[in-house]
Amino acid sequence: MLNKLKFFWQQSWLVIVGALTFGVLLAVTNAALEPRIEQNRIEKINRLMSGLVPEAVDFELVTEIKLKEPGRGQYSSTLYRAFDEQDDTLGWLFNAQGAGFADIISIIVGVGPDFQELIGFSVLSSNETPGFGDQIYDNYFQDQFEDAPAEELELVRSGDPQVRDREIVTITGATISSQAVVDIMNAAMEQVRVKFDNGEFIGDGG
Amino acid sequence: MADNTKGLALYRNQFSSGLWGENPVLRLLLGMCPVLAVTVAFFPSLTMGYSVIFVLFCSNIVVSLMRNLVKPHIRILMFAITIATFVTIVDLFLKAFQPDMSETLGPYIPLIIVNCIVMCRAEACASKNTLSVAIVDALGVGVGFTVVLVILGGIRELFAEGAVAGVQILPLAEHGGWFEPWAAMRMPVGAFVTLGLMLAGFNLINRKLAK
Repeated sequence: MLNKLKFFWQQSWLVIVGALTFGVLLAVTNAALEPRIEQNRIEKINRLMSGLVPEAVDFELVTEIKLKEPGRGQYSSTLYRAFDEQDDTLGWLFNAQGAGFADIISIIVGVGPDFQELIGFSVLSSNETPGFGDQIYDNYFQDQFEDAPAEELELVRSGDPQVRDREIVTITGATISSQAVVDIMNAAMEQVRVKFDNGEFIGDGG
Repeated sequence: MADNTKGLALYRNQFSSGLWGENPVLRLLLGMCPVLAVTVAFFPSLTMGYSVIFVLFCSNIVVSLMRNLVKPHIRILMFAITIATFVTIVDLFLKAFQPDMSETLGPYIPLIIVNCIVMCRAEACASKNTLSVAIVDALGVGVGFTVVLVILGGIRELFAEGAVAGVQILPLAEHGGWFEPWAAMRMPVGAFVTLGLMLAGFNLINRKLAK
């Protein structure tokens, strides 16, 4: 038994020492940089939310909710309330995600104060194909969601993108990415709406 | 004195072989994944380049220092955890200090872990040579990789946007100029065609030099 242990140690001591050393190095680096990385993430979310609701003076973190990704597991979503100087609610914002063409697409969805119409959406992160799927960042696509009814949206191949209705005109050459955004939006909206209707996060300013 | 001259010549040869004779992209055709994927513009190419230099530099140092301790059958495992550590550090630094660039490069920074160039230099050079040779080799190969990436990224950005490193060079038609951007240069086809032409040019020059 002792011989076996000795043999094991002789063969593997460098791996064990190396793994411990590198583990400590990574832990120290992560501890040093994590606050800054988190700050960058918060700043980006705030920047995107300000872009969606420019008239808001601030955003109040309302609650953390669990949402179900279409065809996959659960993820954590943070719900914010946008309010003006009179503390009146201007809208609700939350992050949603789902599978795109290349990778997970993560977006921030903005909905009006009474959940009747969409404010729009912004892309938090995506790795969609440059020149095709990454057009989900473009105004042509994103503007169609502005003031659209907050009900189940439908992707269509042709139509007038200027008309604000539940029909979203697909991006040419990026149908999968367009469909992914619509699916993510529909799935998240449906779940958040249930919580809204149950009065789970009605702010005091609305 | 003679030893010093010999040593300097060795370092010079080691460095220049990474730049030209054994250039990882143009000669060895290694690390093609980031070469084709991130060279849409000058700055992402440069960032990928110096990230690889850092990883090569650190991993070559560690591999060279442990070369007499590591047993042959666990060497690849040791190389892998060494490289993975430094790649994770680069990834964290980019997320902290260059968040936009980190998003632009997406998964390609973590993918340096499986980049053949880094593993190849650990196996072929650092595990068999002294610390100084391993360092010079890392710098030569890293700079050689970066130069090719930056040239490729610069060419693609020039034809896709009419600019290099964000500086407008060709007047765009949409702003009253004559240049119509080539959308293909932003796509993978642009990377394949430009790299193919660079490889042809590299081989042509080498053939002429050999005569």
